[in-house]
Amino acid sequence: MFVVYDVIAMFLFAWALDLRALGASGTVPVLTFMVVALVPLAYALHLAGQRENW
Amino acid sequence: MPDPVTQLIQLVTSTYFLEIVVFPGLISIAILGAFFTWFERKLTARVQLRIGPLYSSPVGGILQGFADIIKLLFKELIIPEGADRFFFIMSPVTALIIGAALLGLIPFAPGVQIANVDVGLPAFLAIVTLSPTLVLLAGWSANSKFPFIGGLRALFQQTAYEIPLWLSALGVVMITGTLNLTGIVQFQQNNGWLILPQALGAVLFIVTSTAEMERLPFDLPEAESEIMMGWQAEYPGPLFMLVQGPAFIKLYAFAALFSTLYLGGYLGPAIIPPIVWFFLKTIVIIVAVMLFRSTFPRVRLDQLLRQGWTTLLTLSIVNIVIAYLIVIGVPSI
Repeated sequence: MFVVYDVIAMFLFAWALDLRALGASGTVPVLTFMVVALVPLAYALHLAGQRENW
Repeated sequence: MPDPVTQLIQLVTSTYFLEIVVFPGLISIAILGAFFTWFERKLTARVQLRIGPLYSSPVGGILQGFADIIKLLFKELIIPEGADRFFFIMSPVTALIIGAALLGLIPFAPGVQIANVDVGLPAFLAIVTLSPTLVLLAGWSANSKFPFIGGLRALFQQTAYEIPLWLSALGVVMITGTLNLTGIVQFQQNNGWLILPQALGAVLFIVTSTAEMERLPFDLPEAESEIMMGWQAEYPGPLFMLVQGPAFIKLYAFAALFSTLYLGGYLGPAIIPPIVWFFLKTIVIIVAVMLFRSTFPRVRLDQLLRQGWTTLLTLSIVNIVIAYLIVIGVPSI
């Protein structure tokens, strides 16, 4: 999980660099990408909270 | 073609060579390292109502750091039985080189920067990412229980802080539109310091970078009261000095990066030279991180992992949203 989200963070730098040029329209794919990435994370944290096993 | 002696003289008097060897390179790092070792001990002592170093010079033991260096250099070099000698020695040496490389990316003043690269910010963070691997290698190569536990702790700790560290710096990139550290400073010259619009990012950055530096309250890989200095436990005198070196250099480099990202780097009223501004800001950050050590108790590993993956990550995403709203503005519905 760490490796996946670490790589995602790198991808976001490419988006951030051109944010002004991309504007609001360029945000939709990134937002979709982040939602898709964060839903499994939320589920994983939910399971971890249930087990009290961190 | 000039003769070899002339070539050598040209090399040692070139600006590039002086920057690497004298300032902001190796000699200045060594002197500052010895000074800040003393300063941290004195500051911590003052917070804890003690006196601290006193006898190594007429002025409050200010030469204590240099005395420690001399003492450690003359100790016997003992390699533990069964240790992997190559990795045991090379890990701290490589950590020292990596630490020095970090400072090469920092703009200390206009024109005073060893390497002005276009991707300075991610390069800095990527180089830093190597540190926990070296800690694990050092802990494993010692062939001893506590160092290995310390190395494993360093890797676990990395999974908690690294993503929030990168994401906290992302807000600065979104606002400035550059990865170049000099470019980030120049942006602040025209638009003001980023500490105001990126206050949350700055707090996240200093918390996660403290975890990266393995300083209290996040010094789990060392944790002298739990695992006897962890991965550093088996290092003898001269190598122990090499182990301590990168710890200070990372503190110095992260404080310098914080000043660059959020406090305008070398910018300030012209009455004081830019380089003095830079050091004033950097020293303030160093003192703040040193005060963490005297103020907060050490967190547990499970607490760090939990907070890293929940609180810090969530706040990092909030910080990205704040940066987005600053750049694009609130979308009309």
